[in-house]
Amino acid sequence: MTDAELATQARAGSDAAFTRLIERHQAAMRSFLRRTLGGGWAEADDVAQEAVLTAWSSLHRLKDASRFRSWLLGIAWRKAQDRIRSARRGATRDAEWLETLQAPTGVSLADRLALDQAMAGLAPDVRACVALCLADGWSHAEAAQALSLPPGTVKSHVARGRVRLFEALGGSDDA
Amino acid sequence: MTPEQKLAALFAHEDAPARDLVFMAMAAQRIARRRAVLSVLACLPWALVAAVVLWALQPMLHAVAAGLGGAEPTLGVVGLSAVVVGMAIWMVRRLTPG
Repeated sequence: MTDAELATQARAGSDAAFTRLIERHQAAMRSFLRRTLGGGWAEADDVAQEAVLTAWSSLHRLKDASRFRSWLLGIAWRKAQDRIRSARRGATRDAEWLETLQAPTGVSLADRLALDQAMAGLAPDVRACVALCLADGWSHAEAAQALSLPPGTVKSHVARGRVRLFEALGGSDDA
Repeated sequence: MTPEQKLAALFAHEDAPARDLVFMAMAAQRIARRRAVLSVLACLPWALVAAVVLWALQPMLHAVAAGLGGAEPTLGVVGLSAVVVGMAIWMVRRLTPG
């Protein structure tokens, strides 16, 4: 069943259809939030749950049912922006998170820290574009729709973010 | 490992699992809580209307009670029981799937 069919059923009041949609897109949303927010994954999941709740209560505002994924990510992005602005992101929490930091196999912890610092140094808009287009492989057009940004801006944000991340990892952006 | 491979590995490390029952359960719990609050809020106007109607009917109810003699407690219990049974039947029908 397509997203459009499920979204139509969900708008008509089907909890099963809404659950199926969230099951389908929760990984993309949570991965995006982990990269955009930085810090602990628990915080990203908390924001993701808030986004799911908002999506459930504002399903009637979804205009194009076939674009459920970008609509959901748009909600998650606005929640993430609120969280970035809020005072909850304290230094204590960041320190606790650093103690639990792990790096994937084949990559040093120093590289992981360098990437996280480089991501944290990016403007939130740039970080979101990098998270969607560079990490998750979204098209510029779809990312532009989800983030409510012009496609040209997304493209330049991705290019700028890419350069910064490669510099942080000790390479040059020759792609 | 090239910087590009490192970047891909670091991004992949942050990928959320494709299936996560705990996350889904937590999200469902929040939705259920919100739905419960909304249900209570939706009942408030009806409760207000019922209170206003009862207040308006008060003189009539006093007259009826006066005409019943000592039967009000019995009729009250019977009426309350009827309301409870009616609510139970309505809820069973509403909550039964299909």
